[in-house]
Amino acid sequence: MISPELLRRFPLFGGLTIEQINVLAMAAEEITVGKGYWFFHQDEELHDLYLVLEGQVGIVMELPRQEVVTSTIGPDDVFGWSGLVPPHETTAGAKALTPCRVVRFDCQRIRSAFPSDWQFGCLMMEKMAQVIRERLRDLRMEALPAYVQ
Amino acid sequence: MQGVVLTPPLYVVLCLFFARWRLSMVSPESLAHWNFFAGLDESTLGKLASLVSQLHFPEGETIFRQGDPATTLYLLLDGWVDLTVSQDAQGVRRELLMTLTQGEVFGWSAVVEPYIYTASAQCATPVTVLALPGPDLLALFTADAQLCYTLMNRICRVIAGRLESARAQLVSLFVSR
Repeated sequence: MISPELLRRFPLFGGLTIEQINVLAMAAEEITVGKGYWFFHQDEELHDLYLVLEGQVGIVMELPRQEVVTSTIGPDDVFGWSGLVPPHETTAGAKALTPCRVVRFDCQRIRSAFPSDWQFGCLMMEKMAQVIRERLRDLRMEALPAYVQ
Repeated sequence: MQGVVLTPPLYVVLCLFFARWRLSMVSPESLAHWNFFAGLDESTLGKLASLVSQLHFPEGETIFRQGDPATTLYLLLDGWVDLTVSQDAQGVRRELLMTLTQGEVFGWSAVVEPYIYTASAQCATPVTVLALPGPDLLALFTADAQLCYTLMNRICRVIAGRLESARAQLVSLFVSR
């Protein structure tokens, strides 16, 4: 568990009620990792969502002989949307590009709160849609044009 | 006397107008047939059906353009739709992202902030779609949080599908080197 007060400061959690922030806080733990740490790999089952407090995380496409960073996630941003969106399988890897301090949320606990509070579920899905939109934008507007040449 | 003369044509016009309106109505049962609306209860389907209109576009027509305010979510009933992006500011160089077929949802930006289309949609064949006005759908979401959860969950998967396709495109660039 981490302090609800800490979570409230993040734009991602804007619009959530105190009860909803409390559910997130109960499902959260803070972890510190070194550069090169893999939070998860591509094509894995995932039930975590991460919020970056400090450091940079790369969203990585893992190819047979190469790793391609398609997005860089910094403080205040989240990654691991697959933890909340079925089928809960990662579509890319996530690797610490620098030493990182992050909050890790247990998505199974978060999801179990939705049936008694659909408003919470609705808000979290809206936020995840925005996160995936950002990844898509990075891929289409930055990564693809960079490698087409 | 003049009024009597005018009455028959006015009646015909009203009949035609009514017939047109009837034709554009979509039944709740027909919505349930599509994956995107699967599992929703009858009253919810009824509300959605009252917002939906069926539209036709000729081959070559642009349904929406990248960068435009996203006002409408679409379900493709018939035909093929090309999704393209322009990678230069002038929009001259266009890249084909994918071709959508029957049953696919597009124009998801209509329900995702900041409500700007991230790609252009152009008809590769004559096309029939169901059109859902974004603001009406968002108003339904405000009134019914469970519906919001269910459909936004599906919208997330639609966007994740686009991400998957963009990644596959990037992989193919590396493989073809």
